[in-house]
Parts: sequence; C-alpha cells; structure tokens
Amino acid sequence: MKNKKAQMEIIGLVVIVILISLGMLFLVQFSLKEKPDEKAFTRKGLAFSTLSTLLKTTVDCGLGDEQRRELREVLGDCASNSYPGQSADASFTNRCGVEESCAFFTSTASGLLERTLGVWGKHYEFQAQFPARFLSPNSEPFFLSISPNAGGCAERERDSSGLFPQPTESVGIIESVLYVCE
Amino acid sequence: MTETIAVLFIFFILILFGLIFYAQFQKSAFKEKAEELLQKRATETMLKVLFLPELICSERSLTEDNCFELAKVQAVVDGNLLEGGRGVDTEIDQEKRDYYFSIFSYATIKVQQLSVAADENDEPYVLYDHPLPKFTKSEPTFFVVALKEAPDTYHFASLAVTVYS
Repeated sequence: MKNKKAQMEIIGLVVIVILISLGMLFLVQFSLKEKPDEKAFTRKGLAFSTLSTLLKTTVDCGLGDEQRRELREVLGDCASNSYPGQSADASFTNRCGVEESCAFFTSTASGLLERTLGVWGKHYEFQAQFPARFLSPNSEPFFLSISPNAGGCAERERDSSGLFPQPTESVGIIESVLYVCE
Repeated sequence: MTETIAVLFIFFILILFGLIFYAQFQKSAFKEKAEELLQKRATETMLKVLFLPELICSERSLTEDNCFELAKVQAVVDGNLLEGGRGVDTEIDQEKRDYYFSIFSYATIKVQQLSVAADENDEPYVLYDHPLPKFTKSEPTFFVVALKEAPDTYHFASLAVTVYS
C-alpha cells in the first residue's frame, strides 16, 4: 500500500515536470518566433523617395542656367548612347559639361547615395535598364548599375522603390529601380 | 508525511523557477515593446513632417510627395515657427508652441541640403528641437526629400527625425 502511494506521488511529480517543461518550451518558442520586419515599410518608402528625388535633382552641367538639367535627362542621354548598335554620329549630346553622360550620372548618383543611404548604414543597388522588347535574347538589359563598395543587395532581404519608367527620344521607355537593404 | 513534504517542496521550487523565468521573459518583452513603440512614434513623426503643409511643395491645390519648398523651410527656420516664434513670449507664441508640441512631442527635426562633394557640407536647417530632458533612448529616422527652389530647381536633401524616450 505504502509502495503504491509512493509510485502515485512520483507519477504526480513527473506530470508536473512535464507540464512545466511544456510551458517553458512554449515560452521559448514564442520568444524566438521571428517578428515581421517593422522597418520594411520605412525602407520601401525610403527607396521610393530616394530614387524619385535623385532623378529630379537639378545638376549643373556647365556655367549658366541653360546648362542646368535634371538627373533623369542625363540618364536618358546615357541610355541613348549606351543602346547596342547606337551609331557614332548620333545627335544626342552625350555630355554633361565636359563629362560623358553615363560617367557624370554614375559619379553624381554614387556621391549622393553614399552621403545618405551609405552614411545611414544601408546597402543599396541602383539599376537602369532598356525595355525588354528592344533587346535581343543575349543582350544585357542593364546599361547602368550602381552599388556601394561594401556590396549591393544580392542575397539580402531588400525592398524596391518600384520601377520608374522614363521616356526617351531614341530607345523608348527606360526603367530605373533602386533596391535598399540592411 | 516526509514524502508529501518533499514532493510539495519540489513542486514549489519548480513553480518558483517558472515564475523567475517568466519574470525575466516579461522584462525583456517589456523592453522590446518600449523599443517598438519608440520606432512606431519615429515613423509616425516622420510621416507628419513629410506631409506638413508648412513645408510641403504645393501649387494651387496640388501637393508633391517627398518634397519641401526651400523658401518655406527657410521661413520656418528664420521665424522659428515650429517652436512658437521669436522675440516676446506672447500668449500666441505659447499657443503655437503647444500646438506643434502636440504634433511632434519630444523630437528633433532637421533638413540638410546635400551636394555631391562631401566637403561642401551645408549646415542643416533645424526646424524643431525639443529633446526630452534626461532622455534614456533616442531613435533617429532618416528620409530623402527634394528641396524645391523656384523656378523648378530641385536639390537633393536628407530629413532626419529623432524621437526620445
């Protein structure tokens, strides 16, 4: 009789231990559960505002007001001159001041992105591409790609600004996109 | 009898461990919640600033997203508008101060025009500066905005909003 009572008590203890273990497991699982990225909304908005601001930023391509252009115009000029098969006697300016359009856009955009996103500890990747219908199957869609020396957003969780279409005179609509990641 | 006391003793020890563990968990959960709330407030304050009529680019009834008018920014800074104006501390100044404090609470709002060259560092425009006295934590949030300078000239600028707790 005494032996049976002791066995019952041990069973009770085991049940309590099991219950507490289950409770702890539940708590641990609850605390380790990955939370949704609360900064994702801000990051997406940041990518959008950065690209829209970047493209409408006015730059000085020389001296005087006539030489002031929006960066999107410089990018369009760059696209016109980067299109595969573009003839050398093209009527595009291909210049912003003394600098070639693509080089000017790259240095200006890199500088501004580095002074904002770079300083705030964000990685980024800017891409500008030709419309798919203009390309042959083997040609590269991107004519311009900018990412910091520390690395772009490959293999990272990234947020996109969305595609920014832009009409150009020669190659139709080009598309720009900015990815921002932590 | 001794066995029952031993079982009860172990039982209460286990309950105590559980309580300690739960208290620790709650403590860290409370800390996380406080951080989450601060981040939420930072985002909300940022959105309020981005759509503040005193700053946003507007023409007739149309507004332009992520854009501040440079003239408005300068007027706000010069008149110290968001902090109740300059000069004599009148009742109207106090009302203005209370009004903007009810919108932004303890925060610092700065706009900085940026040029490509890092050495051409313009001084930031401090629009609102109310840090919480003896704050323990601050949460800075950054955004990029265009500074519109008539006629149709846009500058690249950063907006920094810091909230305190």
